[in-house]
Amino acid sequence: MKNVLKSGLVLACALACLSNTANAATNASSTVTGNVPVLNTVQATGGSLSISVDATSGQMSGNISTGFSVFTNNSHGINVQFDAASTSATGNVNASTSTAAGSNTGKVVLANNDIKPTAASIINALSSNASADNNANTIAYKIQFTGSRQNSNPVYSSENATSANVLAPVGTTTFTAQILNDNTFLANTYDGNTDNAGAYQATVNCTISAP
Amino acid sequence: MLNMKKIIINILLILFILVISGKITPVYAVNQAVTVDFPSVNNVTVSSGSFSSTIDPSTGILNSELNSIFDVSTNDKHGLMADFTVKVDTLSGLINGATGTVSGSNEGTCVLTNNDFKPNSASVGNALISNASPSNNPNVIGFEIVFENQTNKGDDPVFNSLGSTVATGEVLHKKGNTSIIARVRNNTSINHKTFGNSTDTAGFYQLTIYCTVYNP
Repeated sequence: MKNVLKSGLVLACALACLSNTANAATNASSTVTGNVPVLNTVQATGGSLSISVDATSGQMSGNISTGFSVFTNNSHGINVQFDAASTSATGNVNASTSTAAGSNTGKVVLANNDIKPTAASIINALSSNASADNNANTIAYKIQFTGSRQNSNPVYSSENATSANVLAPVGTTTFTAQILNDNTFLANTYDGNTDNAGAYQATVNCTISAP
Repeated sequence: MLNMKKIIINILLILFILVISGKITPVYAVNQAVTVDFPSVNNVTVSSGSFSSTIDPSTGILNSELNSIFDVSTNDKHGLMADFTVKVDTLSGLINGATGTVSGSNEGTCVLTNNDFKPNSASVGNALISNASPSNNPNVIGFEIVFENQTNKGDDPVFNSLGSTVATGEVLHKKGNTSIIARVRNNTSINHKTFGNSTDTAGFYQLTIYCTVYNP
């Protein structure tokens, strides 16, 4: 048995010696990875945030505008949503609505911050059958959203939608929300007798989310 | 007597193997010299490294160095050469991803490409030139690559000329073993010319380092 084993070893050595190839690797590779995470940011950039209102007509002396800057490095872009809120006697309520599907223009209601209206008053001012008697201490104007890049205007998806939306592409997009000196909605929301003197306000909100 | 018998059996066995392999012809040669060629054995493996890190999405700066350690060895008295190349993936496949910036230097420029949104080859090419601009190399980020021999048994691999795509060197002057570390690290100048937060979208940016060893 020992002899057989020894012979086997000799045979193995001989076969190995006959081979000219070395059993070793002469190539190796290594992959390294750096992860660039998704970065989304939004910030308010200011604007013409206050203006005077004619106490007789309810007309503003100019436009109010507020700016926002949105950034994403997500190649799919970023959802950007605009809505507005006003403060009623019972807290914040929605203060904007669409008037036509697919439009970047809608209606916004400013509420008297000194003598706060009821929530019902704001809701009435937003409705299509508003009447000045039923929306005391609220005044409605046009609001328009624009984006700085091609096809980046936020739009209301349907009539009576409460937010305007757009998918912003990679990079920085600036947005402007303008409350226009336009009397389209004044007739049914402004009344010198029911709208008391005070600072009328709305807050425009910009919210971003992954698509 | 028994031992002598075993030796004879073993010799006959070896002769039998040599005959069947064609190395000797028993009919015509009685005394045949037998030469055994003991081959050079060269080896390279990746032993360890820092294979992943995070890149700041605002600045393009690596949070920590990326590196790979290649262990090499040879039993050849003449030592060992090593060639290092870098490849990155693009829309048209793997292409070179590193270049020498100074002749004879172990430092060069390398790029990582977005593996989720692959760049085109022109984008990689732009990132590797001296006057690169981020708008011309989307989804590519440039860094510095350095090859260092971890012992004094041999040289650092170097880029032999400006624009060379291979770093090469005699990493072992004689038989033995050593380790070569390939570092991918921040370089402000390269970073400014290749990173744009609007052009380099989120994703996993990669490169692959290849090492080939051979005797000088």
